[in-house]
Amino acid sequence: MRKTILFAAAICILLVKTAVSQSVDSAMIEAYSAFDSAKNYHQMLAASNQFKLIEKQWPDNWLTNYYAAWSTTVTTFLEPDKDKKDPMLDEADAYFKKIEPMDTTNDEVGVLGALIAGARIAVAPTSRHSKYGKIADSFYEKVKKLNPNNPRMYYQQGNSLFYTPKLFGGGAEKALPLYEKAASLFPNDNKDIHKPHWGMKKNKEMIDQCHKKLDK
Amino acid sequence: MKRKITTLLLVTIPLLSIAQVTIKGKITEGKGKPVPFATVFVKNSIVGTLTDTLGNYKLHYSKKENLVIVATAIGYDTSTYNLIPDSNKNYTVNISVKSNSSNLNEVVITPGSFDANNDRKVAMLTTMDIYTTAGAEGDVVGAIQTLPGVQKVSDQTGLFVRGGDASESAAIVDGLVVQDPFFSPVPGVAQRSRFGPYQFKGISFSSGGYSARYGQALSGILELNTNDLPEETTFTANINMAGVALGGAKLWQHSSLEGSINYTNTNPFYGLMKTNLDFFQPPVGGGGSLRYVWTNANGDILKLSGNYNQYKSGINVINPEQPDSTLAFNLRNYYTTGSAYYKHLFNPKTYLTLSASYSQNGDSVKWGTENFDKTDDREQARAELGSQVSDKFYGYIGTEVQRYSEGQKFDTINLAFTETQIAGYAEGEWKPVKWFGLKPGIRYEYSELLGKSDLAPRISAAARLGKYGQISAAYGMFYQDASDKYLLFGDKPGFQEATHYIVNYQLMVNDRTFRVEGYYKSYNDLIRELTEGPYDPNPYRPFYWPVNNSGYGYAQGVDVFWRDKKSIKNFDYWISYSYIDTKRLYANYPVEATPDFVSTNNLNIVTKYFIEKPGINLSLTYAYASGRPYYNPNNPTFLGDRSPAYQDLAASISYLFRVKKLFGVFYLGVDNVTNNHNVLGYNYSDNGENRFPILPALYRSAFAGVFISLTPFKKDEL
Repeated sequence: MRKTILFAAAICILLVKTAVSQSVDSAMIEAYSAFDSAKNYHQMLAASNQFKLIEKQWPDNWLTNYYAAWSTTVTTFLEPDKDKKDPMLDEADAYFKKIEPMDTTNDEVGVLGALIAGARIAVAPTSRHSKYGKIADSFYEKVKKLNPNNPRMYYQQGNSLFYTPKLFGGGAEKALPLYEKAASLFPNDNKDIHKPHWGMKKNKEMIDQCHKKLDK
Repeated sequence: MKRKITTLLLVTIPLLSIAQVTIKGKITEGKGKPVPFATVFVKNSIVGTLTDTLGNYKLHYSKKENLVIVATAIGYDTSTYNLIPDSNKNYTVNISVKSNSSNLNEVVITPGSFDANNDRKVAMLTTMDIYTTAGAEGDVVGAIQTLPGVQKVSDQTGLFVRGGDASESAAIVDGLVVQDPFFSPVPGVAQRSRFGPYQFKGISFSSGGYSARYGQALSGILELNTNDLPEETTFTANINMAGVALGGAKLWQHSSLEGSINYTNTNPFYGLMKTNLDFFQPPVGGGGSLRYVWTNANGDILKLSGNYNQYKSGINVINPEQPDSTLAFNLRNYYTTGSAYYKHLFNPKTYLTLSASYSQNGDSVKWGTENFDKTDDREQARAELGSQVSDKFYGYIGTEVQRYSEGQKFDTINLAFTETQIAGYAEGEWKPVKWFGLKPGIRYEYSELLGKSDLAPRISAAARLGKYGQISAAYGMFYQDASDKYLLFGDKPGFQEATHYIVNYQLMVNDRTFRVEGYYKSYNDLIRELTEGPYDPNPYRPFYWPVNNSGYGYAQGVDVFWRDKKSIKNFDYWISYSYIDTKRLYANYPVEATPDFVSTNNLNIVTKYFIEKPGINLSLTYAYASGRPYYNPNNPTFLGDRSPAYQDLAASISYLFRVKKLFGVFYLGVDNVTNNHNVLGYNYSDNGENRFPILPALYRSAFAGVFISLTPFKKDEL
C-alpha cells in the first residue's frame, strides 16, 4: 500500500506538473481552436486574450507573438467601441515589432503587417486610407518576393477591394478574382500550428458574398 | 490489479482536488460599476479568462500555491491581488480597477491651434475637409476662414487673426517662412492664397500661443507640411472656367518626380459674371512646378521643389485718394521659389532637419498713368535637432537665419531695405503622467537692421478631465519687426510686441467635438506714425512721417467650435462662432479704436452631405459677420460707424464618375447663392459730404470645372 501511495503521489505530481507547464504548442492549439470556432465577439476576445497570456509565458517565441498580434488585430474588426480599436492595435503592433526582426524570410510577417495596416484603415477609412494603404502595399510587395503563392495575401487584398466603394476603384467584381486566386492556394496550406493557415473558411464566405452581390 | 488501479484513483483524485483551486469574483470600477470583458489571469501562468457582461469571472487553477491574480482592461490601470490559499478550495476575489482615461487618449497640448492632418494624432479636421468646404473655393486660407478666431475680410488681402491685421500672421511651409503667401494685393479686392489643394498632408493653424519654433508674427501662424512620396504614378488634368492645369507624377520605389504646368485665363469666368468692379483685364497667366522626393528605408526624406508663376491683371478700382472716382490698376506679377528640405533619422526617436529656400517676387504696377515697381526676395535656412528622450519627454532645439529685402520704385523715388534675422529656440514637451503635459519653450531673435534682440518665452500646459475632456492654457510673448512700409523709409523702430493668454476647454467624444477658447492679448510697442493734420483713411497714403513705438492695444474674446460627424449618417457639419473685443492705437490712428477689419461677432456654419449611390458630395456654408467699423469724417467718434452685417451662403456640389480607367470629379460652386448685396463699409469724399459704398468685387458668382485622373481615386481625394 505504501508503494501504491508513493506511486500515486508520483503520478499526481506529474499530472500537476504537465497541467501547469503545458507545452507551448498544446496551449496554442487550444487557443487557436477556441478562436477559430468563436461565435461572437466575446468568445473571440476571450481566445485572443488566451493568446496574449501564452505570449506572456513565452515572450521570445515567434509563434506566440504572431498569434497574439494576429488575434488582437482580427478582434478589432468586431470591437464595438471605436475608441478601443487604436489602443488594441497599438498592442498588436508591439507584438508585431518583436517578430519582424526574428525571421525576415517568413512571408507571413508581411501578411500580418498588411493586416494591421488594414485594421488601422478600418478605424477611420477616409482619413487613413492613403497613409496605411501605402504601408499595406509595401508589405504585400515583400510577401510577393518571398512567396507569391501565399493565399492570405490574396484574401486580404480581396477584402480591401471588397470594402472599397466601386467609385473609388473597389467593389465585389474586382475583389472576386483575388478571392478565387486565394481559394486555389488555400488547399496547399500545412495545417500545422507552426504554420499560419487561417482564412480558408472566411475566404469561401466572401466568394459567396461576391456572387450574391454580382447576381443582383 | 484492478483493485490496485481503483485504489490508485481513489488516492489520486482527492490529492488532485486538494491541489486545484477555484477563484471567482467580480471586477468593478472604482464606484462599483462592473467592468465587462476585462481580462483576469493568474500571474506567470496561462490561466486566464474574461469577465462576463456583469463583471463576473471564474478561474480554475491546478496548483495550490501563493498566487497573484491580475485584472486588466483597456482604459483601466492594471490591478493585482495576492492570494494566499488556506485549507479552502474556493476563493472569492473581487478586484476594483481604476479608470485610466489617459490610456485611451494621451493629453495633447494644442491650445490656440487647429490641426488638419491625416495622421493618428487627434485632429479636428482632416486635409480633405479643407477641400470640400463650400465657399473656400479650393483655397486653404478660404477654409481656414471658417474656423473661429479668423475674420473674413472681403476687401483686404491676408489672414486676419483675433484682432490682428494681415501683417501679423505668417504662413510656413515645411518650416520655412513664405515671403508672399498671397497673390499680390489689389486695392479693395481680397486675393487668394497661393496654396492650392492636394499639396499638403498636414495643416496646422494657430490663432495664438504658438510654438517657439516660429517668430515674427504677433497673432497667428498657418503651418503647412507638404506631401511625401505621391501614392502612385498618375496623370491629372483640371479644366475649369479659369484655365487648365496638367500634372504628372512618376513614382519609383524610393523616389518620385512630379511636374505641373498651368495656364490661367479668367476671361470666361469674368465674361459670365456680373462684377461690381470693372475687370478690363481679367487675370491671365501661367506657370509650372517641379518637385523631387527621395526617401529610404530608414525614413530619411529629401524634398526639392521649384516653382515659377506669372500673371497680369487690370481692374478699375476705387481711387483710394478720391473715392468718388476710379483708377485703372494694372498689375504684372512674377514669382519664383525654390526650396530644399531634408530630414535624417539617427534612430526612430531622434531626427535632424535641414531646410533652405529662396523666393523672389516682382510686381510691376501701373496706377492710372504712374509706374510703381516692387521687388522682394527672401533667403532662409533652418536646422533643427529633436528627440523623444523618454516616454515622458520630447524636446527640440533649432536655429534659423532669414534674410529678406524689398525695393520699391515710385516715380523718381527709390526705396529699399535689407533685413537679416537670426533666431535660436529650444522647446520641450514633458508629460510626467499621461493626463498632464507641460510645454515650455524659449526663442531668441536678433535683428541686424534694427540692431536689437529679444527673448520670447512661451509655455503651454494641458490636463485631461475625465475620459473625453481636456483643459489647457498657454502664455507667450511674440515679437515682430515694423511693417515693410516703415522700414522702406529708413525708420528703425524697435520690435512690436504681443503677449497672449489662452484658456481652452475641449470635449471629444467619438466623432463629436466641442471646443471653447477664451483669450486675452495685449499689444505693446506698436508702430505709430507721428502725423500732423487730419486722419487719412487711405491705406496707400504716401508715407512721410517719422514713427515710434508708442502704440498699444488689446484683444479679448471667446471662440467656440462644434463639430458633429456622427448624428446623421454621411452628414457632417461644424459651427464656429467668435466674439471679439479689441482696440488699438497704431499706424495713423488719432485715438484708440477698433480697427476697420474687425467684426465683433463672426459665425460660420459648414455642412457637408455625401450621397453614396450616385457619388455626390454636397456642401453648404453660411457665413455671418457683424458690421465692421468704417471712418466717417462727420462722426466725432473715430471709426465709430458700423457697416451692415455681412452674410454669405455658398453651395458646392461635386459629382464623381468613372469611365473605364478614367476617374473624374465634376464640381460646381456658387458663392453668395442668395445674391445678398453686402456692403463692406463706406468711403467719404474729402469734404465729407458724399459717401460711397465699398462693395465686394462680385456678389453672386459661380465656378465650374472638371478634374480627371488616369488612376483610380483614393477616397480621401474626394
